[in-house]
Amino acid sequence: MDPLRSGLRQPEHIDALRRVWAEQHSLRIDGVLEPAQATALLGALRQAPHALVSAPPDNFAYLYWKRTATPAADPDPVLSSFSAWMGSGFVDWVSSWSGQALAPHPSREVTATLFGYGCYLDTHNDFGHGRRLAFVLGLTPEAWPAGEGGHLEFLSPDGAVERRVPGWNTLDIFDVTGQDRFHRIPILTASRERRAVSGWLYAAEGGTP
Amino acid sequence: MMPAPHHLEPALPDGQAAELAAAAALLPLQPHAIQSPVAAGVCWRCDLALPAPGDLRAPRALAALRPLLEETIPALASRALGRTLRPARPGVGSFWALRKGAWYARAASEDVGVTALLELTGAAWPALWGGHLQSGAHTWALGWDRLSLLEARQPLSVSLLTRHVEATFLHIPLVGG
Repeated sequence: MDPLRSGLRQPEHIDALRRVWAEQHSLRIDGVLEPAQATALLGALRQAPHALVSAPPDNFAYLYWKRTATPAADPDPVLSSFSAWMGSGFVDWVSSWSGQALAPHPSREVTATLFGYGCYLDTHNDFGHGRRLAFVLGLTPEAWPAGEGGHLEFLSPDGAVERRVPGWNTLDIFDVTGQDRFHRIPILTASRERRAVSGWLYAAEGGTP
Repeated sequence: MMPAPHHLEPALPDGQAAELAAAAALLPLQPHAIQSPVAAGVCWRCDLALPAPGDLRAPRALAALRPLLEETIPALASRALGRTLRPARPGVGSFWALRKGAWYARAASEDVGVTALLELTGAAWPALWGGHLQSGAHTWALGWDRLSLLEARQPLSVSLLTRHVEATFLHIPLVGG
């Protein structure tokens, strides 16, 4: 099943995405999935166990809840079907407007994240490892002020900060081929539920290096 | 009126806190979510099976833990609180740390036990950064070579730690009898 909102495959939408991407190399798409699919996905993720993961601050530190599974190994039919699409139809669709031949993670694993009270992702870039684009498929039903943390922040060398509020049924996607593409998620200081499916798309074998 | 926590300081023979802190720094502490009917939180934790008495291969700091946790600290707590207490988890040494993202909230309960914290935190930071403890009207920061005794029935909270600092302690639950 293809959960992508049907209109997003129309040529005029593809052209519009192509134009924005070529200019900005970073964008947010609202209403990326069919609404019923987004709701089903959130329901399945709320039932799925996540592990609390962290890293020490010697590189960049983080603390959040994470669930990683491959489509074949995922016992949940909703998540398995969605993960299979992330590794095929999703990649093809992004390739169609980003102008790049892209590939999923070699293992086809798909990662869901949950940021709750106290969770954070310190400043880092996603450079290297063959990564071309990072994506965050937002599944956060509620909104809150940036002062409570949990927003995705892009940092510029001049000190400017671009914030993206956690979204419902949104796709944030951005180029990670530059070492100056720093971003972070400040620590959540309120009890909130920030859910997403996130990861990277890679250069396809034989694609643009 | 809620009784204040007991603080015994210094708690250990000269040098033992330094040995324990050095041992703790080498342990693979993992993030741990606390979820129970009366408590919730996040801390970093590593539970160790204590070396058997007479195990000459055990590092000195860990070999000394068994008598410390099973005899010395229960005796100190029993004397301070006026009732007999013993370890709830004999044979286990539980090292905990508060790192960025740690917090804790425990409601009042019927628990008759005692939580002993052997504090091994060498540096202090402002309360605004979080990681400080509160029980009723009493607030304090984890310190160095100090034993804090908390009645488990009393509410306890640790404010959300928002900076990259670390507080390390041994978490020692004690029960009556």
